[in-house]
Parts: sequence; structure tokens; C-alpha cells
Amino acid sequence: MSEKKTAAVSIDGLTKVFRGALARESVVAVKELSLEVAPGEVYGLIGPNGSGKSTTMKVLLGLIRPSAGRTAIFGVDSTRVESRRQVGFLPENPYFYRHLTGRETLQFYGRLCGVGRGALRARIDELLELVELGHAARRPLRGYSKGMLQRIGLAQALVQEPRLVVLDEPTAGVDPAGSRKIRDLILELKQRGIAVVLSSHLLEQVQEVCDRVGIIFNGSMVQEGRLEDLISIENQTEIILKNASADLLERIRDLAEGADAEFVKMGQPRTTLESLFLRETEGREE
Amino acid sequence: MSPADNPGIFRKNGMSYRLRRNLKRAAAGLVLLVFGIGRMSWEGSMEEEWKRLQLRAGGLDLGVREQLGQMSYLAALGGFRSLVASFLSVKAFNEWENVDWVKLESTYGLMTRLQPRVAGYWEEGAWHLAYNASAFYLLNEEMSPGVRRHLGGRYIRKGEEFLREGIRNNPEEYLLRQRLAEIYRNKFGDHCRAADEFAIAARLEGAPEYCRRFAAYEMADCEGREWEAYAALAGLYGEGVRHRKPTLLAKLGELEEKLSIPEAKRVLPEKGP
Amino acid sequence: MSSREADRKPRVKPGGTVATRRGIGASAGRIGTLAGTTFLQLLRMKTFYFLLIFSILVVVASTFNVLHHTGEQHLKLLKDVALGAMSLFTSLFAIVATALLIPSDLEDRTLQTILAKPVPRYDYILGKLCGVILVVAVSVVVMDLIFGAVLYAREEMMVAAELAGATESGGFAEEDLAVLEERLRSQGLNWNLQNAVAAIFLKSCVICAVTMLVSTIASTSLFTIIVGFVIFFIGHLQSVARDYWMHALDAGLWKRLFSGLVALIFPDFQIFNVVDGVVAGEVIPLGAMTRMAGLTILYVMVYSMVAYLVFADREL
Repeated sequence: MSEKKTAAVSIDGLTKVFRGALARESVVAVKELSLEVAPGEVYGLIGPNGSGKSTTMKVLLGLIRPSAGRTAIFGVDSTRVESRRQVGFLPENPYFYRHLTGRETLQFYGRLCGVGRGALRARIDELLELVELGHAARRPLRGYSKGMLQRIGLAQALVQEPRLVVLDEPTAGVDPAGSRKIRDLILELKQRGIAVVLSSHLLEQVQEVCDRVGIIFNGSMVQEGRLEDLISIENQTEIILKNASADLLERIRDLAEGADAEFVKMGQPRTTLESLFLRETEGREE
Repeated sequence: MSPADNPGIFRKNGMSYRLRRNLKRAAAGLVLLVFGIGRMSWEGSMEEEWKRLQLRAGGLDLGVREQLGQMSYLAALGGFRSLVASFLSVKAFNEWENVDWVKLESTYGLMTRLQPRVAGYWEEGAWHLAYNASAFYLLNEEMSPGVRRHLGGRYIRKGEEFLREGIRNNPEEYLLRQRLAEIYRNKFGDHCRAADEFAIAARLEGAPEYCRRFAAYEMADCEGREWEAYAALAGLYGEGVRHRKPTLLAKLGELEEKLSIPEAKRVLPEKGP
Repeated sequence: MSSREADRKPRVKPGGTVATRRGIGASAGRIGTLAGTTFLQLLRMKTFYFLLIFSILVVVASTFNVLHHTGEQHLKLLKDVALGAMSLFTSLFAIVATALLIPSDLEDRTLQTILAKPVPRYDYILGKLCGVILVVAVSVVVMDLIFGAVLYAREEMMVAAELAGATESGGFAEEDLAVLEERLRSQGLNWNLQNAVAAIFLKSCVICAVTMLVSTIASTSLFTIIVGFVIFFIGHLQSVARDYWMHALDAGLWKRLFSGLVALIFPDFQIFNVVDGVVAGEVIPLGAMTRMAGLTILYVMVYSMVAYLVFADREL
């Protein structure tokens, strides 16, 4: 199929300058940025706050116009409404209509996408199950917690079964349990073959889910590539043993030193604080 | 569309987004201006039609603004003339209670300027002036008879003038004519003019039949028009029982005597011996 | 996959998309969805409380009795208060409700999620506008019903009381009583009053459209409300500026240019102020109402178009 070849996201020489009103100075938010995301790929955009991640996403979604360069979704230029048929978007800290219930929210976005009534009902049931909000579907959003809002937002982004999902800081301000749920959802999307572009400044998370990452600094791409390639230390090897005796460890050290290799470090691996927190709180929440 | 077949997937156009945006803004301004030009004459003609239909009173002048105060003036401008007039009528009631005739007169002046087409305001204002205010002075025993007559008479004339102004604004309203005739009859004792005004009232739409009778009664008391009055009264008598009120019968009888109508030609049946 | 199949068994195909409609029908569907949600939003924001204030005002006005007031004056006062309040409330409500919509969507980033769907920006503007006009329409109908019921009740009471009074005092022929009743009834409930109510609604539609236009430029509700009020105020004086532009040919150039600009840019709200005339008993012919409705449609269309042109490239 020819469509397979089309990139889910193509950004070509994107530059965005926010012109200052009156006497204020203009700000260059993004400078000649180019990247491509293949269908089904999870791409992480990382960088400090204000580095141009959100701006890039907004241009991609047609919310703002590029000053130079172009962006496209599955080959359709972002300035065309058509380009948004295949994409779902979750902005940073989203607020949906607080007066709507979870189900009504999904209905609203589904109808905006022109999903037929019958198909939409089934789709909403499925999405509520996916984001584990079935129990809160009839409650208005004003009573939702931050994590629940983020998940209903993700469901909203998925309502028309897009082939690409764009998530801007999806775990910002969400507690670790909620954050983990969102991470699991992203992995679920990846399994279903949906391309994901997410931005984050929490590097650990990006590391857990992304196939490829791009690091943006001051609006320019400073490093891009496959995650393994970027973070593996090529001349080092890690060995993890279980129930090893002190004697065995001593022999390994001797062996290494006898074989011309430098022994760098030995000790007990630590669990992450996140997994400790999750282990201790799992099953106690809600 | 198959993007794979088309390597240039991006929308091609030579115009920068900035230029396109500025063009759209210019277009927005242009649409607004063209629409403004287009509707100008249309709205002008609608305004004329509204005035013809009496839906819109003329502009309010500076004098009205000074009298009304800023708030009420703004309200009147914003489509609340009727409401402001209604509240002024409440104010007028207080002025009447305080027998403040000068204020009362100016309040009714304002009310009728705000709503010249509400006949009730003209009628009521004239009644206050010609009857209440004039009686207040005519019956005021603290004043000398000359002053009383002077002031009383002045307010009767004010009432007459006020009604005439109301009639100019509402020429089709019979009630104002009727009230004017009543002032001539009751206050001036001018039966000839009263007869004329009643006659005009009777011809207007919606006028009750008694206006025709009143016109004939007044004519009967107008020196020199007795024959005309007799003909009118006889005509009414002939029209049916509904006109044969005691006053009509009495006036007919008086005229038949006064004009010495021969017994045979009299309208009224002969009285018994 | 037919839609019935989809009904039975929800499935997510990797990279597949559910059937979505396109074209004009889809556009109408989107506008309807946006309008419905806007309606619900204003409804659940409890903005209808002002209807309660209106009801209280009308009922109070109907019992407001000035001693010397005749039945006619009493009914006129009731109509003045009710229609005046209806006109004012509807206009203010139109400004405030419209001003809340786009800026709050912008602030909450809800707008980003909406426009990140395949929703053209003109669909968004039209949807919001239709929603707020729908709310205004429902409010006007409710106020009209309350007003009509109270006026009818008072009219019946007045007629009964005046006829009883006249019969008691004697000296009134059948004919006189009929005249008395007819004069009272002419101030009571009649179809011509509905023309005034319709004009109030049409005016509010123009107010909604022009406020919507302002809110596409503004970034806060407060700014939109303030500018909305200024336009509301100037709109009532626009005809003065138009007269000046068209007839005061000997005036100074700058004065004329200024008044011309005011006349060109601002709507003429005086065209819709027919309440005073209607209360005074003037009848509005159907032709005049049609022209007014036509003008309203033009205003709404043009202001929506300008709003779109301004909003089309707005950075969100």
C-alpha cells in the first residue's frame, strides 16, 4: 500500500516567529526544525520549558501558522482542515467543558468528527473502558481529578480512531499512579499501531515509551535518534546477578582485571522511587 | 489524494501566511465598510417608513435632556421612552397631590414629548390644567377675585392649548376632540365652538354615538343656529329609540317652542291636555 | 463495515478509522453539535436566573397601583415595564452570554481540542452563534409567555372592575359600557404586541453577532463585554451620525468623516426599537416586520463573515 510510505508526521524547515505587539521584541520560538515520524512510531520531543515543543505541536495541528517551512500529517498539509481527520490531540493541562459528563464530552468530540450515532455509542463504551473511566462516565467533569481529566482527554483524542495522537506534556501535574496509567495507555496505542508524538520534560517517562526522541533546545533540534543508540554507553557492559556469593563476585573482578578490562562499579541495583511508590500504594488507592 | 505519488505533499502557494492574514484582515474591514455603505440608504428609508408608521418619534432636543436628567434621557434614547413616560405619570400624580401646578404642567409636557401618540397623556394633562388647576385658583378664597379670575382663566386656556397640541399629533383620536368640546361647553360656555368640536369628534373612527347627540345639543344653545340644530335633533329622533334620551326630547321641545313650529309639523307627539 | 455491524461489536483496527461524514451535511452536524453544547453550557451555568427576576418584576409591576390611574394607564404601565425589562434584559444577556463563549474556550484550551478535530473555524463560530441565539430565543419565549399571562389576567380584572364600577355608579348606557370596554381592551393583550417581542429578539440576534465579532479579536470576556456595551450604546445613536453624514453637507470635513465612519461601522439599533410605538397602539404591518427580519439576517451574516475572516488566522 502506498500509504505505508507516507510519514505520520512530516515537519520541514519549520520556523515560527511570534511578532511582538507594539514595542515588544519578536520571539523566535522554533528555528528551522525538521523531523519525521513513521506510522506506528512513538516519538518523544524533549526539552526544557519554553524550548518550542508546544509551538511545534500547535503548528502541526494547524492551531498556529508557521512563519516559514511546512508541516503535514499523513501527507496532508496542516493548514488544511482535512489534515485533522487522522490526528487526536491532548493539550497541556486541558480543561474540557466542565458542565458536560465524561460520556457527553466524548459524544461532543465524536460528533465534531462526524462519527455516526451508532458507531459513536460503541466507540465511547470502548474508550471509557480503555481509559478506565466507566465508573465516572455520568459525572460532570468539574468533579474529575487531574489524572481523570488527562485520561478523558486522551479518550477524546482517540474518539475518531486517528492514526496519530499528539500529546503535549500528558503527565504534567498528574500523580505517579495516574502518570503510570497514562504511560500504559501510550504503550497500548503503540501496540495497536497508532503513531504517537509526545512532549515531556520528564525524561524517565520518555525513556520508557519512546522509540525515537528528539531533543529541542531554544527552538532548534540538537540531537535526534533511536533511544537505544542515544543512551547506551557503547564501551560498557552491565551484568546483573542474583544470589551471587562474595566469593563469586571477587572472582569475577579478578577475571576482568586479568583480561585487560577496567572494572568500573559493583553494587546492589536500586529500584526507582517511582516503582517503590507504586508497589506500596497499589491497591490502596480509590 | 495519494501523498506517496505526490512528493510535494505540502500545500503549494506563493503567498506567505503573514500576507494572507493581512489580506483577510483587510477583507474583513472592506466587508464591514461595503455593508455599511449598502445598508445606509436602506436603513435611512426604513427610518422614514418607521416615522410614517409613527413607530419612531422625532429626536429629543437639548431641552428635554435638561428636564429629564441624564439617566432618563439615556433610557429614553435606548428605546425606553414609553417606560420613562410611564414613570413620569407617577411623578405627575405626586405633583397633583402637592398641588404643584407649574411642575405638573412641565411633567405632562415631557410625557407628551416622549410619547406624543399616547392620547391618554394629552387628555389627562388637559384635564389637570383646565379643571383641577383652574378650579384651584378660581375657588381660592385667599386671593382677590380679580387674581382668581385671571389665574383660573389662564389655566383653562392652557388646558385648551394642550388639547389642541394633542389633536395636532393625534388627529384621528375622537376622545381629544370630545374633551376639547367639553372644555368649550363647561369652562367657556361657548356652545357654538363646542358644537363644532363635538361634530368633528362624531365623524372620527370609533366615536360613540353620543357625540352626535352632544353636537346637536350644543348647536341648540348656539345663537343663530337653531334651525340647523332642530334639523339635526329631528334627524336623530327619527333614527330610532336609542337616541330618544330625556335631554334630546327636552331640547327638541324647547326648539319647537322657540322656533314656533306649527303643531302639524312638529316631530314630538302632541302632549296631552 | 456497515454501521449496524459497528453497533454490535466495537472494534479498533490498528490504524483504522471509524466511518465519518463529510461535506455540507457534516458541517451542519458540527454546527448543530456546537450549538447544542453551547446551549447546554449556558443552561447549566444557570444563566436563566434573570428570567426569575423578570417574572418578579412583571408581577410586581402588575400590582403596582397608582391611585388615580385608570385601567388603561395601569395596563400601559404594565406593558412599559414588562417590554422595557424584556428589551433590556435580552440585550444585556445577549452581550454577556456571547462574550463568555469564545474567550473562555480560549483560556481553558478547550478551543485547541475542538479545532484540533476536523472542524473548520467558520463552523465553530456559527455553532457558537447559533447556540447563544437559541438560548436568547428560549428566554424571549419564556418572558413572552409570562408577560402575556400576567397582562391577560390584569386585563380581565380591569375590565371586570371598571364595568362593575360603571354599572354601580349608573348613568352608563350599554353603548357607553361597550366603548369603555373597547378602550381598555385596546391596551390589553393583542397580536401586535408580539411584533414588539419579535423586534426585541431580532435586535438581540444582531447584538449576539456583533459581540461574537468582538470576541474573536478580544482575549478576555471582560474586554468583550465592555466593548459590547459601547457598541450597544453607540448603536442607539448611529442614526444620528447617519443623518449627519447624509444631510449636514455644510459641516466640517473631519466631523462629517467621523460621523460617516460611525454610521458605516456601527449597527443601527433604533430600527428595532418599536416597543414605544407598539405600546402607544401603533400597528406594525407585516411588510415592516419582514424588512426588519431581512436586515437582521444580513447583519448576522455579515458580522459572522467578518468574525470568520478575523478568526481564520488567529493564533491559538
